[in-house]
Amino acid sequence: MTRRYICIPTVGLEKNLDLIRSHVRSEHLAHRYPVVRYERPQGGRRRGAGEIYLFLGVDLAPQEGTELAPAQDRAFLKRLGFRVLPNLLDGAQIKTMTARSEISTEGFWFRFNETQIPPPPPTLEQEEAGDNQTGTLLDDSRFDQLLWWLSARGHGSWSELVSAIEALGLCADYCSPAGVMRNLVLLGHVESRTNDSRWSVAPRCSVTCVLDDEVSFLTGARGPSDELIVSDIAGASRSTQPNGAGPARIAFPADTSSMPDDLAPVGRAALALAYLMPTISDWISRLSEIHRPDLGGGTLQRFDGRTWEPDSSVRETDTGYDGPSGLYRFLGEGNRTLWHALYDSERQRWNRADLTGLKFAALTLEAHDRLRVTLDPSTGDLLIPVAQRWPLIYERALVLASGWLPAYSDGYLRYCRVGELLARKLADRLGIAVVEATDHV
Amino acid sequence: MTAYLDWNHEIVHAVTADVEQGSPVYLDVNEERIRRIGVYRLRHRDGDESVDAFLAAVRESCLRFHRVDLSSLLDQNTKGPPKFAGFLATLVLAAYDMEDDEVVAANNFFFRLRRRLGFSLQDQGRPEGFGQQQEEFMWEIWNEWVVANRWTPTAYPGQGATRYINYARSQTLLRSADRNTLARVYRSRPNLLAEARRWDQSTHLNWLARHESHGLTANLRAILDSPDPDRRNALGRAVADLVADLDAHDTGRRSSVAGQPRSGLYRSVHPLTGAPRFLAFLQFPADIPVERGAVVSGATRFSLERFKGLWTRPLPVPDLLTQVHTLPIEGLAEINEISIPAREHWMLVRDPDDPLRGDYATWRDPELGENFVLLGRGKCAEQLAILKEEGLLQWVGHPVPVPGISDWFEWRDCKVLSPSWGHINPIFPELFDELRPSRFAIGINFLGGLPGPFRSSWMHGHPPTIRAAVFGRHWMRIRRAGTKESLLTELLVGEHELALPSELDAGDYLLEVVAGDQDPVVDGAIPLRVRSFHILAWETLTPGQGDRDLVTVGPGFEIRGAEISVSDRAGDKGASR
Repeated sequence: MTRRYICIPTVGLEKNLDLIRSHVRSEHLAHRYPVVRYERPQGGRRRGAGEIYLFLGVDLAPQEGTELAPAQDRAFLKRLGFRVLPNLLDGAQIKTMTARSEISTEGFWFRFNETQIPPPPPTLEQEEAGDNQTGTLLDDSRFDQLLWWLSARGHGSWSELVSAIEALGLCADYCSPAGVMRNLVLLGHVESRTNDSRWSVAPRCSVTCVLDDEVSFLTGARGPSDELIVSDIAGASRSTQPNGAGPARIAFPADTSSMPDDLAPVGRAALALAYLMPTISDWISRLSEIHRPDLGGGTLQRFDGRTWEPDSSVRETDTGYDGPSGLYRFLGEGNRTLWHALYDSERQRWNRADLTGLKFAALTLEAHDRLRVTLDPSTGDLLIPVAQRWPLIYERALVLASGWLPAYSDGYLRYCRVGELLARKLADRLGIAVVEATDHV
Repeated sequence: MTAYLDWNHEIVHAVTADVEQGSPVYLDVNEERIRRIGVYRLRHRDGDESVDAFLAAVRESCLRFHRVDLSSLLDQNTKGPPKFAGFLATLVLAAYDMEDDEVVAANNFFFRLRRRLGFSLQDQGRPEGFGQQQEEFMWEIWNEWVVANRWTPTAYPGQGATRYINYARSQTLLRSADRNTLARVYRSRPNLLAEARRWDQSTHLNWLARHESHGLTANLRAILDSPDPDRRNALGRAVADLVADLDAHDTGRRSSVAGQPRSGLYRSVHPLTGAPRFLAFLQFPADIPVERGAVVSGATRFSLERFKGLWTRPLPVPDLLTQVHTLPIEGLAEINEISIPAREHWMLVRDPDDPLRGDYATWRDPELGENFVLLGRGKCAEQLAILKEEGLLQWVGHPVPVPGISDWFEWRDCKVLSPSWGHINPIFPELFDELRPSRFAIGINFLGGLPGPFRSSWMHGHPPTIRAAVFGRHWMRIRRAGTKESLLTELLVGEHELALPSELDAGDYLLEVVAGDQDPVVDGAIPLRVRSFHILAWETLTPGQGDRDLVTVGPGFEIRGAEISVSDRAGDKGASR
């Protein structure tokens, strides 16, 4: 391709440049006419009547002549009302006349687009635990890939995690990024932090099942090479989580001597955790708080046990707030939820935690006597009403009992092989009743 | 041989230690660098002795019977850097010796190479025993090693008579003549050197382009006009380091062994209110053990901690935007203070590794076609309005006042739309120059996909989309590192998006942009810009380390996954859930 210039004698610079540029752009001719150059004033002298030369750059195809302005280009310029000189010029010929005057027509091809990066999806703190209740079996190999990816990265931001979850297509099926994260935390693979929305992969551990102490399972960081455990260790197994909602459960005999060296045996972690857990009131008192939230410029809503309703009962005062305790959320511009908090009017505290946990805490304040869980003594499974799902740290103890995520069953979450000891210990900490399946309708 | 291998190791370390993953590596070796390596790393008594010692080591290991003999350096059976890097550095040293106005001819280059290697100057041309194919083979192996170690290669051949010598020439940023010219320029005015010591790299480049372009060497002017922002940035860093050395020399100050720290700005937003907050963003050379150090601002002492790459965790320095800060640094033998200039404006881009995060910073200059935040004083408004009116720059909405800082505004989602700035008379030259794109600029951004554990890597099956922006017409080609065959060739006009095919095999790749008037398929078309990227097989992932401080805390215990430990940590109650 060869570039030559068509010389256009004209009067008036800006209006004629604009005319050429607008037609080049609207007719998509910038590939043919990539630049316009114009004559610079030489010592204040110009030809008569203010005439100057514009030079329209033309990229000629190999078969086109380089001496005379092609007919199609003369026609284009004539249509715009220009007169052109017949001979084409090369860059060297106009260099001194047009120094530093080049204007690209192609530059105007750039589109202006707002970045329009959407706000990050709700975090664990902002979204209630949901789950796949459709019974669709997901492709859990993507969860395995996600866990390998998280393990290789080590730690990172919420937005990085969201990008990965979306790239793997895990959100498309049923669960939000917060739901994916919750399942990973429950299984002991990942830790997350509320105040700066960061995550970290957890140490690699082998955990002994609470009811089956001859069986252990993997938690924490994991890589593709861990798949070899299944083939290399007699009795090891790889099983899909209920609804495929998490990385596969890799289990093996607890007494095997051929485990990877970097696995820390932590025994029955679920029981240890249950014995250490605080009571629900102690848990609430230890939550972080939002310091003096500004209730202006948005909408406050209160959770009534079922839905969120606009609330005008809580007001800011000179010393704090006036209004009833309860679970609130604050909506900002575009009705986007900015925060949730459990308000304690007596202590004047706005407590933060995972939304599921806050809802449970609100229920314990308002309907404590209605909370109960059901234990199936024949299997050791524990059933919890979906609407009464426990705070994340308590639920983690239930999941670490077996390495299985809960399965949905008729409005209940079924936690596999929890056992009576663990169930009663945790229920005691939460101050709720345990009924046996035979008593439950 | 031992001495040569020590030099080889130290030279490779010197040219790669401060290069972030994905960024270009230049085997930019000059006498000053050799002196510095000799004195600070190999314990030589003085710098001149070091240059002689280096050349003696090269001759001892690379010459046999007055011929070049690299046979002992070519048997690469380890994963380390090529053993012949020290010899390649000698070629670069010969290119460094070339005068600015010298005809670029092989004879001139080989005359200097022969002199460095101690060959007879009665003869001309290549040193005996040093063939063209051997030279090209070594540069190709060097490039492959650079890519395999997650950087971008920069050594490319020329065309015609300069084909082979261009490999070495392409590696030199500041040649001998350039250094002399810059020393003269920066010493030409009283106090300029002391003032310029506090400039960042883009201030150096813009100042040189505006005030001194006619007095610069052809090599400097060529890099200033380069379409490759990576090469311009590398030049900016080299100039900043040179100015620091000159100032240290003139004032008797001790120059830094490891290089200079750099300062920038970090913008985070409050998670609940969305209000921006500005933090000092500092970058330290990789050899500086920053964890031992702290920055002092007033009565506050901020411990330093690596954040990403060479950057340290942003620090809340008061009055950051409105005052010049020269902050003492404690605990680091190499550096005792850092300057943060009081600029009239800053250009901030999203974190290239985490673009969805709402934070912006001076990670790098905005790529052509990339949106950015322009933070500036009210005086910027008039200039920006003219640029917007002329269709050269666009932004979203109205300038947003910065809360709590009088007369500072944010122009959000700015984007340069056109290269045609020649007809505008700047009324705020510094801002104008910084915003004005090179007429030949080429912007490359990687978007989406599933990033791998290191920069410029993506997981197999989830490659990125390439967004390229050029003024003019160029070709983009993609090939596997170590091969010459293009897998993909695309014509770039204006803005262009290309989603890489998900079936792209795992491996190391090079994205090259070549001029529109060259045939992109023909071997030898010289790229105007190169970016490396990597597609990783899933099987290569291995578990890394988590953040040990990220735990769930309970009363008297803390838990990480399933690992429970006794703890008296009471502070971070926010983690207890």
